[in-house]
Amino acid sequence: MDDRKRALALSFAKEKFGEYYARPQSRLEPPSGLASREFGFLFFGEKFMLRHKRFPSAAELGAFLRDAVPSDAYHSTALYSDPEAEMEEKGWLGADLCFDIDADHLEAPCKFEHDRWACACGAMGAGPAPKACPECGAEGLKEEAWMCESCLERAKDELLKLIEVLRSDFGIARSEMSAYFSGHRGYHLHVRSEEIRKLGESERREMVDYLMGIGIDPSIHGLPTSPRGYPGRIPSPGDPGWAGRLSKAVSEILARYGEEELEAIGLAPKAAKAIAGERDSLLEDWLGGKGWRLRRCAGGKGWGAIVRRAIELASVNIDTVVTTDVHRLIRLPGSLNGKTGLVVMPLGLEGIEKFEPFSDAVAFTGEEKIHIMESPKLRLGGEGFGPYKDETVTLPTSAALLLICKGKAYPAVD
Amino acid sequence: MFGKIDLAKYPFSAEAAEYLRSRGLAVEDLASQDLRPILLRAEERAREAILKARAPERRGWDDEVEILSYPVALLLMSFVGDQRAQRRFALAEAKRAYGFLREDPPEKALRIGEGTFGMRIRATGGPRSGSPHEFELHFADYLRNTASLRDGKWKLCNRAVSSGWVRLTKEELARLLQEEVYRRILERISNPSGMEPGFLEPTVRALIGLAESTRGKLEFAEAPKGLVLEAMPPCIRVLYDSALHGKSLSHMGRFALTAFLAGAGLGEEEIIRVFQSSADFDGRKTRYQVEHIFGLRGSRTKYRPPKCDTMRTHGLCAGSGEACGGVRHPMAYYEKKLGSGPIQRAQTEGRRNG
Repeated sequence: MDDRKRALALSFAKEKFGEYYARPQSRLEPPSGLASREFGFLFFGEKFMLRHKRFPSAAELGAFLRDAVPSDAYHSTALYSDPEAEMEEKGWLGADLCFDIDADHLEAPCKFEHDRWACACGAMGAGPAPKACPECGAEGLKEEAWMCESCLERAKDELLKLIEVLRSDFGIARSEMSAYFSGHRGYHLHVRSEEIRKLGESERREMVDYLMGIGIDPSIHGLPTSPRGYPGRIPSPGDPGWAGRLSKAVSEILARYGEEELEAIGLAPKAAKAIAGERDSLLEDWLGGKGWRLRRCAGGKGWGAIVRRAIELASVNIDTVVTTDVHRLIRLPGSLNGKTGLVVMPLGLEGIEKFEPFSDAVAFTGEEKIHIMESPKLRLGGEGFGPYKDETVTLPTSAALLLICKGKAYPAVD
Repeated sequence: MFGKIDLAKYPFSAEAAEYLRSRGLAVEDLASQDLRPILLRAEERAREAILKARAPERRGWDDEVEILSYPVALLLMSFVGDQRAQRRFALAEAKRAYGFLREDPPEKALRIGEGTFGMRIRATGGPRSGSPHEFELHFADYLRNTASLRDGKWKLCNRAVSSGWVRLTKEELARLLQEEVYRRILERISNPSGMEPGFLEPTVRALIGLAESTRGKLEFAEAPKGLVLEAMPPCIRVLYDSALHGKSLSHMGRFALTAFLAGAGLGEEEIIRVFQSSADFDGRKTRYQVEHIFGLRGSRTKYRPPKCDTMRTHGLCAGSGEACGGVRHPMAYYEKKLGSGPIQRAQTEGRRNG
């Protein structure tokens, strides 16, 4: 895209964002303790972030968004006595516990359909970027991640799992949690409570380890995986914490996994066949507190594979950095995401399951004529579009804005 | 009930602080001959901690002396100023409290946890209800006190956790209270009191001399011969630096470091020197452990450091598979970095076969 087209694209996006922030009832949801938060902004066509901003009131924040029209708006998860000061002098008072569930970090087969990578040497391929270019060996390949419904469904499942573990294991009330669609590839969860606010980084890291099952020792939960280890008193589904979740995860494997899936997680063909063949009675045994027959069918190695799989199933996949960093900036709920033009959408906890990101987070009506250089298929506002290659089309404004924000299109000039 | 004997066992408690206030003693009073035992006992507490990281035996002192010598010992240690000595003192007093809490009925731990440290604790049935756990501690209080405990059993994901409460045995609660006591004492003595030592000056000077004499020989500017610091894997480097800086290591951490250093060709004496700055250094015990790992004692097996997976489980992994170039064993990392294949172990080899 040449400079003129890029300028056209930027001014179009800025105009649309400006319209959104000028609406009397935008979905903006300023964080609690607004005046003690640091705000940061990115702007169209600029590389640098404006940081260390403070707003005494929601009205002033709203006015800033209207006048300055940033491409992306963020607030600190932390509260400070002086949010405008340099980092060391801000006076940290505590921070919300925030979680980022990003489809980037989840395994999803569809990534090979919509994600691409490219190397400076000209090589390219589908799916997540390899560590090094297979052609020239260069590292740090450019990745192009596209958003898709099934990736976001996976992310939503993780979000629901996260909420459940925080509630059941950590005793965090649902009223203390707020969930948001990030406007792009994932979901955010903010926990705001006095209890949580004071936790330091190492405590938060330990919570992350807990959620992700890092450092878990299955033998402590009655599932020894040493070569000659046999399960003794196995956990039951009602046990608290990881013990109960591991018990349920093993039941799930027994109930759902066929021979092929068992082999895929590392069981020998013979063991997989034996387990799949006796699944009902093995499951009955398991739920009755007896695990030795499963251990015998699986063999030492297979048993270890089952336990490892159970840990994977029972853990919550979150971005570890976001949660442990107590000085982090996170997207302002109700603002627009500059990568897509979609709303960073506040979701009631009850509304998560029904939420459809590609319809419910759409901020604009109307149509626009744009020129698209290249685009895979996309769905937005209940309609499907594309794929396109070097063509001029009229699309609903939100779809046009999405492609423009992604750098795939520019407004058509007659 | 919290009697005078409890005040003597737990002189850091809120109850003891209240008692001290009611006694209304001033530092100057310690100069009097009547109160001489208090100062003597305080000095003994400080000295024994600096030398052995242990609190001294009771040896017939009465409760009153035991209670009153505690704040005096704290004052002495704040004048001493030496950080390593202060850590050893805090550790000695904290371990002393742990010992008492383990023996005392559970009500004591509950009372101190709640009353002195503001922990949220609930008593559960304990053994009577068929569970080994006697307490439930709020997870925030749990996390605050386990941050420095590296043993895998303290990892939250290895605990029974429900609705924000973590189940604990009495002994485990006592161990976490040890952490609280340690932090509280260290915080108090590492902040200057703003007072002048005055007539305590000679005592303080003697303690400073003692702190220096136990340390003097321990510090060495460069790494032991034959050890290539740059080739150390991140996990071992963290342990090594911690040991040199006088931080105490978990049992697993100590084992991993010792076995690694042995594998890297260091002799027992050199390894023992690495541990000498540690806050809880105990010469005899360290020697025993090192010899054990060298295969000179016990099972006569020479141990290798734990593999990466095990290090990870115990929270000792400091890098990641990728950062370490995909090795599975800390020793492999070192050998790979040195680029020389397995390291010459001639000196230790000979001894082992002999």
